[in-house]
Amino acid sequence: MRHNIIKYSLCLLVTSLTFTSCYRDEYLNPSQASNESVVTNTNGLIALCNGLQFRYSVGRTSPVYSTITANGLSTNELIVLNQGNTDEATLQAGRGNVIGNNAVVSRLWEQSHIIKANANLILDNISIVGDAGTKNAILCYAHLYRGLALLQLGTYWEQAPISIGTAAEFSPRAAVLAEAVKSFESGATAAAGSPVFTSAFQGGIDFVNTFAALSARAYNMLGNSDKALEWANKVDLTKKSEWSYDDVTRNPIFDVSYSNVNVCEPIDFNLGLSGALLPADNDGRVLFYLKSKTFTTTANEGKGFFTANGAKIPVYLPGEVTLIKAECYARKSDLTNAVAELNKVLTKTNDAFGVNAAQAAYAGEQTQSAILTEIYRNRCIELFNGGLKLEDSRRFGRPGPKDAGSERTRNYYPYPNSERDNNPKTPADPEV
Amino acid sequence: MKVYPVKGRLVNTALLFLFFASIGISQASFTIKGSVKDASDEALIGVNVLMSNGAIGAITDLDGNYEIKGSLPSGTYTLNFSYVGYGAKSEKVTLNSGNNDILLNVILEADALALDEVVVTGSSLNAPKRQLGNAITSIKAADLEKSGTANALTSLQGRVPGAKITQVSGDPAGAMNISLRGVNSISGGSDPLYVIDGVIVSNAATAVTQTGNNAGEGQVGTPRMADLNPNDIETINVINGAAAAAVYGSRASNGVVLITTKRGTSGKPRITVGTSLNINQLRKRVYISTFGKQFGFAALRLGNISNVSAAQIAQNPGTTTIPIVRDGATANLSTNLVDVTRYDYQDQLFRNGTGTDNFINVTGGSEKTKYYAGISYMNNEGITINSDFSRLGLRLNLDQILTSWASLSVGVNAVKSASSDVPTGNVFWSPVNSINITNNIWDITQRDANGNLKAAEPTRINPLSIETFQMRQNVNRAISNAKLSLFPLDGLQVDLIAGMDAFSQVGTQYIPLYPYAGVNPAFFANGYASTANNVSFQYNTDLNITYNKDFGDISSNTVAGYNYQNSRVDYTQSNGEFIAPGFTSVNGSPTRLTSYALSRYWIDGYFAQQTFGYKNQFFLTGAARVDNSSIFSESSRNQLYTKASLSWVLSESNFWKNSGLGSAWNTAKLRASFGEAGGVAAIGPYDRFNLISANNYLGKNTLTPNTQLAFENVAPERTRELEVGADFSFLKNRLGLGITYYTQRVFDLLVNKQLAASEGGTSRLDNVGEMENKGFEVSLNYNVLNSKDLNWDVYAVYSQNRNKVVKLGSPTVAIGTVSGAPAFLIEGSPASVFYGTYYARDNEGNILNTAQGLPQTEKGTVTAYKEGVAVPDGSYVLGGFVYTPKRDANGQPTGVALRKIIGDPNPDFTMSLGTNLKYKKFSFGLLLDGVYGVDVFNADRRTRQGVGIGDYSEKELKGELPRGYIYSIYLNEEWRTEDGSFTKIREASLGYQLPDNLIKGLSNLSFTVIGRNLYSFDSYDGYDPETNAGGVSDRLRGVDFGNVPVPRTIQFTLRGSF
Repeated sequence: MRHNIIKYSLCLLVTSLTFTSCYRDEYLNPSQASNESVVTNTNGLIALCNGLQFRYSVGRTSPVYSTITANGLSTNELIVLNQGNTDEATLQAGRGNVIGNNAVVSRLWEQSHIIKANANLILDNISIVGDAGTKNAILCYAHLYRGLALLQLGTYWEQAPISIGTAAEFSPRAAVLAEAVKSFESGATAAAGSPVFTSAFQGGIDFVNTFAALSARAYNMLGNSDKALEWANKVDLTKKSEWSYDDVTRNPIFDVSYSNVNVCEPIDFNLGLSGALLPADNDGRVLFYLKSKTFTTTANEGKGFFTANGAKIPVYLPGEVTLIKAECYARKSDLTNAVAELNKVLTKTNDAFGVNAAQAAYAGEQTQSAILTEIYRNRCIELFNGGLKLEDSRRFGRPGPKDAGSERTRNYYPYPNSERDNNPKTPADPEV
Repeated sequence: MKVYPVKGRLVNTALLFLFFASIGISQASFTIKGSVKDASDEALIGVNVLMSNGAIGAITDLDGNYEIKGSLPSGTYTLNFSYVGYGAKSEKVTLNSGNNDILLNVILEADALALDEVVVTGSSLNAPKRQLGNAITSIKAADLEKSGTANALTSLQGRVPGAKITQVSGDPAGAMNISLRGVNSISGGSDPLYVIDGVIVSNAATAVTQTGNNAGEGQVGTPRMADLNPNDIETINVINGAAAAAVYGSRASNGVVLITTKRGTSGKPRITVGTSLNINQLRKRVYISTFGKQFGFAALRLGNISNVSAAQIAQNPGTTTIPIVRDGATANLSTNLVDVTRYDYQDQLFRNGTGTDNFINVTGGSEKTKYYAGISYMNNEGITINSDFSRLGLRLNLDQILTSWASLSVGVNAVKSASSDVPTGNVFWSPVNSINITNNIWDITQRDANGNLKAAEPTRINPLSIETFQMRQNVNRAISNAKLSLFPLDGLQVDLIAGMDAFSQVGTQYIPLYPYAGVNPAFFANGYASTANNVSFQYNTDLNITYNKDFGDISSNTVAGYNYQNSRVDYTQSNGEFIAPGFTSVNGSPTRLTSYALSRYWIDGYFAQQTFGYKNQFFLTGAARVDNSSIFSESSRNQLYTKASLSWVLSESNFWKNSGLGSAWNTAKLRASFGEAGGVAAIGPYDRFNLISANNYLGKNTLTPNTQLAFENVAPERTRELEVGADFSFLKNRLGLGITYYTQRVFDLLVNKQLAASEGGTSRLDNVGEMENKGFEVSLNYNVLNSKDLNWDVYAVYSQNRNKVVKLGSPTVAIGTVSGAPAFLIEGSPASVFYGTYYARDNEGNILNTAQGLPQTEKGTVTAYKEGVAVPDGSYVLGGFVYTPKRDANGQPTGVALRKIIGDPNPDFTMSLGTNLKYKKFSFGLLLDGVYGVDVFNADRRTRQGVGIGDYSEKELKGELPRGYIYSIYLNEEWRTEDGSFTKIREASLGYQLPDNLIKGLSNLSFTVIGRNLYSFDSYDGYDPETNAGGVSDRLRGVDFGNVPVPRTIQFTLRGSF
């Protein structure tokens, strides 16, 4: 009897042992944070601001890489060095070769939308920030990157969704660019409201001048010369705004392309220009953007702002602002002022970034069309490999992909498969 | 609420009844001994002899003898004899009070189906095969010994119906990938659950060395089942499907592999020793051209496919070009030839590797205490420079009878594994890729005055630099199990199992600064070092209560239980570049980056299973299990899984026995099984949360919301499977045939569904998919001849599976890879197909050339597919698009490049054929193993042609192919997809049993030569179609991108006992 009691007690003990060793806790991830914990905290919002800049400017997936590379390949600025880089190679071939699966194009689209959504997340939660200076500082970041993301979408696609959500509606590019302007102008207001940039912010950007320069760029794209001129005139050309890098977060163009001879390099020592657009032999800007005029297979000839892991990339160049002014005057038929601004670029020797043509003043025909061509030529050289040429080529009416002597291989990009497959509102792709 | 008191009272009544039932019976002490032999009077070694009370038993020794001593209440007991490949036998023994000395000799009959073989079906659950409604495969120690590999999973190749077992890398620490009945999950892996003696063990392939190696969705680490010493294994039971594995509930959708290790036998100690030496070599070299010409000029890289600029022509006089038009764009390809000297770098990168494997096992014990102790050391060199794997293992299994109603089993396995790794494919600084990606016009053995290697092709590394890499991995592991079994009543058994699997895995990697300039920074031109530490700890506790009772013709087996499993994995990694001189670790880096990840989850579940048998011929089983897991939210965590199965042994019926049918058709069993199982591990423990990640960015807090969005209430995948089958035996039980058909559907398939980026993310994990697997399996074994001197067995396995992604939530999901393989999931197609560009062809199916006479890709229009809108003739619908090939006025393709399914990495079928022949002291074994109707994306093939070292390149240089041919097919993905069907001589062995007492006291001394992967019959244009750059990934399969090929191995083994 006692034997059996021991037996059954042991059985019970064994059974209960099984259950006592079993913990049923909730497990959370210590290495990532929940959305709620970040957006309810001012420091969290500041870190998200730095995250916007990180996403926009760091890595091969960043719009900075994609816009410079895609633009360069579509407009005869760059060539692909190894056909194994299929997405870059099809961009260079252009036309029907660029389809919705192109990774460079898809990333540019996707990252722009993600940045826009992330900026909205900050703007939606801005009310938790008490201090007005900090609040304006956060608003500067959120509006800058929201605006830049929209600007990219409006540059490369005929239509794009502005709002975020399932089956988002597409708006024409003019509306997308207008929305970008709205962000830049809101940002300009915040930048004027004594923002306080603590050391928690990444820095490097002069917001007052950046918002003015980008507003001028966007208005110019929209064809609003008056507003473009108004904003361009507010830019202090001595001020610099740059994205910074180091050996860990590297200059993406240098890291992927210019540090080696495997992806892309500038197409030739005339920066891909010919005929009336040819740069002068002694144009100082050519050897700013190229290492030399001798091409070899062992070194990449690209230079510019992509010379080292830690080389900074400008958000905009002062030369662009001056050329916007020249272009606006020219389009308003104020040829005198147009040539005056153009000459500032042609004869420049004291550029904040060292982009100095050091050429003689303009001596060509004093007609609107000749002056506009010269402005375009200077944009091609001054702003080489800056992600602006596709838009410029369209705006200045240069020969398109289907024209004789075409200077670009696409007008707009097709919509990525990821959008088309999952958003029924996606419009038809442009032919080229 | 009303039910509980009633239940409670019932239990109490039952307990009281049990109490009184065992009162007032006298004790009997006994010694039962005897021998067990087969029909030809050969002693059977290792036969399991077990008293019906469950606690007392023995195993026959080398002479086939057993002895059982003990004391039990007097009465009648059954002594059960069971042995692999033989019919079981039960003998009644009557124990009277006082001393009993019983002699009981037994002869066991061969049984091709082994219906009475008791197989393990769960941690402490087992059943005779006749009761099972599903197929189960048992692999024995003897099969493992013949396989010539030190990896237990490798030795399963060709032996398991329904299993696709691929050696994805030829590295000595390389991976084995097992999928049972096709791919079962597209988010998690298809790796089955591994259980060793009741311990749920980790087979995670966490990489601690390939830290700078971006493999996309590939998993390139060593799966940690490599730590297991096959010499310790007694049997491996493979349960293929959800229907059979339902007792494992939410972890069982991929099937279960149950491993039982060797246990002690009573008697004087027996020592078994084994030593082996093996040689590994490259089975096949790929064709590398050494034709001494190149297009353009010597410094021209990728001359076959490069557009030569005007500037280059100006700088290299004599360069002539031809404009080649491809897809509407023109490239000027050079046409003049210059002299170069070409080398074959395979000479420098491959070597013959050698290895040794030594072990010693001791078994013995008294009637109450039995032990098995084994120690082993294995060391194996790879066929690429700088790679090896070693494993030191110690195992102790102890069985102790505590009392007549309680026994304890304890097992401890301590392992230290270490490997020197080389970069896997996926990077261009791996041994095989560096051969493929480097123009072979450089003498890579040249060194400068300081003895440093010189540069090869600009941007590439000198392939020999891999010699200077240090990638080391050290694993310390302990797998322990304890099982307490109680037998409070005849027929009632309570098992408590505790299992623990703990390992730490430390990896260090060092890539020195290359002693030459111009290397692509992506190949760590500035040097690189990392250290990673992976600490995995998982434990499980199981309580199983079994009750067996016979009611006349009806037998009943009841099992109820509770299991709990907890897993915690801590992973820390630090890496950096710009390594300071004199340093070989990450401490020498000024840009160190550190990261930490913690993965934790628990799973628990209650289950109950009831089997009723009728006259030993009809068995019906039903089971239910309720599971919970921390991986899912409260609302979707609780999951019920059910199963039912039926087994009908027709040949047991009187009708069969009396009809005379039984004499020719000895056994016939029909079976059917239905069950559900879950895939709990298909997602990570935190995948249901929307999370924000931190980034290293110039020293400031930088947060980015994850682009993978989450659903809080995501649910586990659920696999529903029906299998039906039959087992037959003929010719006096010497020919056994098993056939199984199954149909399996995975519901709530977790898909990381692509999102339109305008939703604010790029993907979201959601239960939007559905997938099915259908197939059948045939296994055949035939004992052709059996006499005292000659024994000849033949066996064959055939498996076929059809996989289909039924629903995906999006038309397609791309699978990330750096290999260039266009791997996709597409609704309506098998998983992981290659969906890419293809040749334009004319109406007769011939390749349609361009005006320049070169092949080209198909072109046309691509429009979004809309349900209900008619698809025009000549168009096809795929992945949500309508593809329409178009021709221009000249009959040439026009429009954008089109895509179609150009390859399928899921085989049509697999088949193997084996034989074992034993004549007197000689034995011979052969296993042919084949995979058929499978496509491989051969990324390396194109690379070789582009850089100028391949066979097409040579032909183009010699003018046998038109200039521009390689350039024309360069973007054509169909050209890179090849038939990867093969038949391999997987195993061939020749053994000789030396005479006993050649050395005094030494018996069973045998010498065996084993060849593994001796030859492959295939038409594949690469090293080996059995490969995968995705490692053990189940999403990315059939991709050949710089993988180390599986070597040919010759092993010499000597084994003996004393």
